[in-house]
Amino acid sequence: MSDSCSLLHVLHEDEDDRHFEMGDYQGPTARWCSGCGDHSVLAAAQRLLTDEQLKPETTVFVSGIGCSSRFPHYMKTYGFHGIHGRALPVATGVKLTRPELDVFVVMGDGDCVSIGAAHWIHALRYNVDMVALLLDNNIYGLTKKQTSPTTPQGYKSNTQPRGSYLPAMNPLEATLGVTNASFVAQTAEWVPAHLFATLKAAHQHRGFSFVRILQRCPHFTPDMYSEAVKKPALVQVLTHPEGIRVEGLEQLYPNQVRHDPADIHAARELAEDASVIRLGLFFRDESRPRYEETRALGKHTAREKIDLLNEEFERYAV
Amino acid sequence: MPSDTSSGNGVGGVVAPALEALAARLDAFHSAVATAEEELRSFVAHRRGASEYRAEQALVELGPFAVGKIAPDRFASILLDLEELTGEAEQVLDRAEYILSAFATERDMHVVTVEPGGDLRDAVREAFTQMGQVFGAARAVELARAGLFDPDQHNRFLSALPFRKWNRAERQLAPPLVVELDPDDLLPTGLGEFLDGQVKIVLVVRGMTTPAPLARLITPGTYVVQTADPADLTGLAVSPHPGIALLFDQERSEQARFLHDPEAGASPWERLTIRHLPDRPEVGRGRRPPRWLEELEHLEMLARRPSTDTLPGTASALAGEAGTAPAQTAPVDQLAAWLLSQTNVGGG
Amino acid sequence: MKLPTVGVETPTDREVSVRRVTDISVEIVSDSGEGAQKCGQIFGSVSAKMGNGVWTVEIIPAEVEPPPRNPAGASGIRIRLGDREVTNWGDETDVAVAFNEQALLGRHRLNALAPNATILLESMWATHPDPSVRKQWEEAMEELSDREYRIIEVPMEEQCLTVVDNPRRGKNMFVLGLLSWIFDRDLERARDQIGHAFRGKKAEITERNVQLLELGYAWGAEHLDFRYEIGTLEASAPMVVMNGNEAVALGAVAAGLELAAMYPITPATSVSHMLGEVFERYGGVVHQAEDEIAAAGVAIGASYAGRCAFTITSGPGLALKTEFLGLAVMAEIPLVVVDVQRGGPSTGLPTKVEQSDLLAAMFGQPGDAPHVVLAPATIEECFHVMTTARRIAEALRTVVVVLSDANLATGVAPFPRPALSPEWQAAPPDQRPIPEGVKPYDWDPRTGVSRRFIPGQAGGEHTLTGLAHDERSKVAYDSAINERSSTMRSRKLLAFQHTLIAPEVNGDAGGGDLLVVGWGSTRGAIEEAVARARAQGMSVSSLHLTFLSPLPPGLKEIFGRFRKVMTVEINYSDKKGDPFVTDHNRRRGQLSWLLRATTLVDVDCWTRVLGEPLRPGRILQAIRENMPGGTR
Ligand SMILES: Cc1ncc(C[n+]2csc(CCOP(=O)(O)OP(=O)(O)O)c2C)c(N)n1
Ligand code: SF4
Repeated sequence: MSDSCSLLHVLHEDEDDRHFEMGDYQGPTARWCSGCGDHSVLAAAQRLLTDEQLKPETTVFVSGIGCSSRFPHYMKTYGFHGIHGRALPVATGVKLTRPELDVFVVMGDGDCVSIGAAHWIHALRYNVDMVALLLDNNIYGLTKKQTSPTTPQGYKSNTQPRGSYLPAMNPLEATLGVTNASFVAQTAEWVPAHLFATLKAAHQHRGFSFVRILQRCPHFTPDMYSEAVKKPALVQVLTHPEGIRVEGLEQLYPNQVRHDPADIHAARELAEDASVIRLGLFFRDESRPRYEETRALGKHTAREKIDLLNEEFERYAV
Repeated sequence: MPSDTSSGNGVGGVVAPALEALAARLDAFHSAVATAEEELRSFVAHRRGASEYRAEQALVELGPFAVGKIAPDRFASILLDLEELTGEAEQVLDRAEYILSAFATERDMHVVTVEPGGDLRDAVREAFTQMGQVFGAARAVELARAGLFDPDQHNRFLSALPFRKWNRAERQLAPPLVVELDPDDLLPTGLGEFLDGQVKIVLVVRGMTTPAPLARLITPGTYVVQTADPADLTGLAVSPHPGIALLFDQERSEQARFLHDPEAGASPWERLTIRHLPDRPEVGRGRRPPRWLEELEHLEMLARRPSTDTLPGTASALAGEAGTAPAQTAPVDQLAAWLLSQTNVGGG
Repeated sequence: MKLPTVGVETPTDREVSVRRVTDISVEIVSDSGEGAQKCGQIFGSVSAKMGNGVWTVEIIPAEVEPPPRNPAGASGIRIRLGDREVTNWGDETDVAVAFNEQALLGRHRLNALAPNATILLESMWATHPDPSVRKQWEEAMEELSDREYRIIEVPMEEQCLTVVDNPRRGKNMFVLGLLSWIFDRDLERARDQIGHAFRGKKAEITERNVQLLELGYAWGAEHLDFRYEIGTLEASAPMVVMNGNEAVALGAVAAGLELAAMYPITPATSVSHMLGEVFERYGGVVHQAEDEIAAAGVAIGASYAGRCAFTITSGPGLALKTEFLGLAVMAEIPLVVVDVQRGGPSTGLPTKVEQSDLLAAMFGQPGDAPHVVLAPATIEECFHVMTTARRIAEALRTVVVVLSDANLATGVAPFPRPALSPEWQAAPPDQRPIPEGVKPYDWDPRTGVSRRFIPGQAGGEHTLTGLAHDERSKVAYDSAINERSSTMRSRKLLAFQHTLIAPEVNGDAGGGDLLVVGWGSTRGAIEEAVARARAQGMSVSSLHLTFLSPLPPGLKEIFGRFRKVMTVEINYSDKKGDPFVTDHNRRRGQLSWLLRATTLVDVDCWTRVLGEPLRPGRILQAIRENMPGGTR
């Protein structure tokens, strides 16, 4: 709640003793392919909102363009389905001027890592309090199977039929290299408990929470994560009391490594090593400055502004 | 005679800095009221009366640049048709606007003086009740413009609204209060009921008081400070917790100076910083110790870090973790129980 | 005093001639960093305070630190004074002060100096120890001698050294003193203005500058033989004096705009500097984004969230914002975009004026993206336009592009101090719940206008989208929906057009031989030229357009009353008679293109892209050349 809001709305807000069920956040049936990993992310987000009892009217999902960016349409909150690659600036504008809103950003890998790369880097640095989800299916889905920056080298697509020419970009490594990044996690949509716990931690973090979600696209890249889904040994879970804790996960995923999310150097090493898929909280630092805090809109009434402006005119008076 | 020497620098001299220190809260309150008023005014302006007026409004809103370029009547005609106000709603809104505009600029109601011999708690309650008009007016506006205002039920909103009727959001916006009073009238324990939301109260006292009158108001979620330096009030103003301060007119060795900040830690001894503790008086044999000695003892007790090996399991109880009632044996457990009993007002 | 090396007779008998003028231009030119601009600004302010009409414009080299003593690096300022309101920078300069002969040469080559200009020139270079400098001097004098300039050598440096150690930091105030004597300026006001200009600096600095001012004044009194007398106008209302960018910035505050998102670009940047200085004191935020795209995105995000936001840029930045502008139009998000135009295409002429973004601003967004484009014509309008633009953007839920340009951005002129009104500022975001049944795009079928939903309004939850959508903001899979929503967005513009008032003809509303049509910053120069032409008996009038999209009503009718209609613009057009140019294939000025398309009138154009504001004298010549039936 922000004091800058008028008294009137504050009152209105408080009068309600609503309780929200999952259904209160569910929009129309999602039109993704069956088996698409985006479905699980949607379910996890809806569960998170229920868990946190976020008000639908003060929650905003901002996205770009892509299969994954259809996300807001399937929520019953406010949504902004903008243009390709530019979800982050829009979300920044929303949160900067209305800090009382809960802001989530949903991007695909083309959206975030390719066309929106500049905004991604800078959003990490602004560290505005919001949750940014990168739904990484390693391919362009909506436009039908073109190579994305995260497509593994050698992987064939419609634009690079002889296989992707370059090594895939590693979004975690890039993210952890940005000054003022404050929350970096990776999860996989096929491990719902971990996905949910990660979203929850990301939402609770005060600052820009970047979550890369490994996402299956059965339509175009059915083989991409099939091994990892079948063989939990290929997945290593980062554990720490300060990290993302999921009870009982060690039974499914016995391959675990302890990692203190305060340790940026260890985080970078873990992120760099691509020999295994790592899920967990790589890094968190709540002490990093948040742009919207230092840049909060002041609270001046029209009349106060006029008084100040009149003072300013004195400097220009003839 | 310390209180005499300070007369040139008496209560009056401390009220102003106290208000100053609370400026952020005052601003938050005033600007919320002013914004509400502005919004109300534009709401009414947009809906009131004839199309002529709407054209005038369009002319003003478009500014001088549009003069001779845009026809205001035609511009008004493409704006959305808004629901017209009923006469009744208009009356309610007028009255509410009157109240809001009065409060948007007033500065005097935030200072209350307790007449010698008066009741501190009554004075605070009355002040809040009066200022509650703002919240009542805002509620009336919300109802009226939603077409839900029922005079029988809601007229009460257009007069005073006692603190106990304020909702959570209103308590968050609560106007700060500075209370001047005589040392003899300083019975602050009755103020606990007001320490909620973002209520900030500064008691300004001239002369000698008991050493730690506010000690009893310390709860895990309340910001409490006793000081002679107005600069110490800044923390009170910005704390997200309700808070109360006792501002002395000067430093005296008989008056304790301390700060309890809920954000500073989980246990009382982490949250409490004692800057000065008076010496305990010699109590002659067979004589009853003065009542205020308890205040000091209470303060000392809160500040003491228990050695955990002698009192197993107390650390978590002291941390104010609500839920389980600790066994009522050790004194420190009694303290914990007392603290827990107070947490409902703190909302920490 | 040195004798003049070029020009006419020497003042020996110290007889001072006083010339009465109604209008005069002064230029001060130097290497950059020598403070010529500050000198000119103070001179302009003092003159404005004394009641003259004033227009000052900076002469800015493209580089930050061009090599010294270089004709291309001339940096400085022109001040035009009048006995009435001055609306443009005028023609040639009558009096010039040059800190070196190369800077002067630069102005000479651009034909900025009147053929009989009086020039005060720093004399030190003539006797400089470096022979190559002396040689340059001689060559310059040779080149300058083809005009009737009267060049008076002034030992500026020598004089300044009597007061300061580093004359580079003092000549400008000495020159201010000289000009103050020549134009009989009030020294007390000049001292005041110096104090103002150096506020925050040490008192000695102000003192030293005042000393230099007095030195220059005394030197002038002792050595010069000419002075000017210029009438003043009655100031009826209190005035303020500022440039167009400052006016935009303060206007944004007056309009209640809360967020300015931008990426630095000349000549728009100074708005952000100004905002950075003052905006945040009013509760606004200036967001310097990572690029212009992000700046547009942040402004759109803020506006979507119910705040009033704008973004400010110049041509190259406008190009980057294109996709976002399309989104704002499509999703009906209010947005004000200020484009301070410069020369283009590409990086073009970063510091110089052009009016070449008109069509890009209107049609730059792929797809049909109807929105409002308007152009302030004066510095005063730069202030007030912000309120109107914001109001239109919000009322219509659309994009409003404000086209300023480098001429307005850097021109400084006084205007009546605005009487501010709280009604100019938008109300805070409406947070009341949305009544059941109201949809996010409940287009009023008559006007296409719909009610704006803002996050926080319960019951209004929906996903806004740049995809074609229906009233409920649901993605349209049905082409009929696209047709209908396109119609609604266009209808808003039509409805708005219907509120516009036909512009007034300056001259003969009843018609005549020639109608000159202009837009934006050229108004002052065009009207001055028309006034002169009419004084010479030509049947010419002018019409100035503020709204370019939609165009105001009545144009075709007005055009019909004139034998010939011609736009005057600062953008490129092919010249008649050039190789290959025919009436058919000729590429025309942007406004003329637009007017021809919308009115089917054969609107001709006269345009130039010289990287400077149009000179009234040049427009006058164009009028003469284009009078139907030839009035030559
Ligand atoms: C400016 C622009 N360029 C290109 C496109 C076409 N386009 C739409 S989505 C997309 C990539 C989608 O891939 P990704 O972001 O990975 O999301 P996914 O569909 O896989 O979820 C592209 C190239 C566009 N809409 N806009
Ligand atoms: S194409 Fe792939 S990413 Fe897109 S919806 Fe289908 S499965 Fe999901």
